[in-house]
Amino acid sequence: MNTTTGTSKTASAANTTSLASSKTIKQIGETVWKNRTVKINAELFTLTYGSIVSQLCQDYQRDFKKVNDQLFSMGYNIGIRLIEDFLARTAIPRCDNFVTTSEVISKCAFKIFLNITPHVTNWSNTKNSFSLIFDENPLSDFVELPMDASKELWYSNILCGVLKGALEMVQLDCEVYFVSDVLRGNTQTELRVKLNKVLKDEMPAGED
Amino acid sequence: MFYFTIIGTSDNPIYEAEFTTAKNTFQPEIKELNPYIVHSTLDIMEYLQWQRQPQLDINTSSGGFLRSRHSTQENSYLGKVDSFYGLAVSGFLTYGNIKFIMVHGNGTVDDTVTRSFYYEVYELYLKTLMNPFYKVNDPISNSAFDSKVRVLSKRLFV
Repeated sequence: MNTTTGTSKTASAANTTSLASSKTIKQIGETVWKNRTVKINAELFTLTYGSIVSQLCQDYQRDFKKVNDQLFSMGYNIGIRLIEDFLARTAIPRCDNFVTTSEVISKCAFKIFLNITPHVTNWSNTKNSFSLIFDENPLSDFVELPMDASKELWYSNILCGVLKGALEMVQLDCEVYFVSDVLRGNTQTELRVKLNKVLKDEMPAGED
Repeated sequence: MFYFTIIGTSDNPIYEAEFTTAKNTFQPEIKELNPYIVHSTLDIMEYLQWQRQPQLDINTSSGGFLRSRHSTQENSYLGKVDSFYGLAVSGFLTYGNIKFIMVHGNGTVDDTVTRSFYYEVYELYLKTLMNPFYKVNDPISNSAFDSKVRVLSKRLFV
């Protein structure tokens, strides 16, 4: 169980109890969103991200595979930092299983950082992979993909990178990728998270 | 019947549409003329664009820039700006200097309807402009925009 550290002194003591019900997770998300999150204008955010993507498309001469990779690695670098900030703000204790992890991602993390709550669904039988369905996506407001991009570009691929980076920092080695996107003409936007393995704390080489 | 165009900042057409019904269509010889009528209206709109309102004191800082002839309230909607052998032409100027021009085949401009049409198209245009892959003055090839404009025209003009 997580104890309150110096960085998370703002978190309430109640959060350190077990994450028994998903309702608590939701409440934590909403409280932090309401009280401890600095908001910015949605259009500014959307247009900033939009201009990054469109600039990347130009810089890589419309090689959308490279753009996807670049967005992913940008996201990864955000994720490995953001998880620290996220845990400090929420003081959420360790998740007992991957189901709880998914709830925390959807109801807490997405709520706090993007004010959306994607549905968690399509669990695999072994409970180690799930899908997030986005009803709304603040990154892609106003966006219409150009014809040549609509088969290859994952416009919001930065989200995959963020999740990958953040989960890796809490010892969860995952594969994160988009399955479908409304921008491509699919009926829904679906992001798949697949747990490869739980990383063990390993001694750095030569220190045993 | 109506002929509607959006003209970019360097007088380049970026969108055009004709709103007609089965009984109410432009005659072939007029249909060909429509782009020319619109073209000649550009000069008038540019003239109107820089008019100061006569009743405004020239010294006030709030100037007469971009004023309609018909109203002191709004800047964008210019109302009826031109006519051509029984056809009326109305215009609308966005703050980004994009011109909306429409040829009214019935010869009159219903200000209430036309104004709301222009403002709703303006909103659709803004949404298009916010798309990071769209550049100012590019032709609008987006079919969603086209169909929304057509639905709008059906609601307001037919």
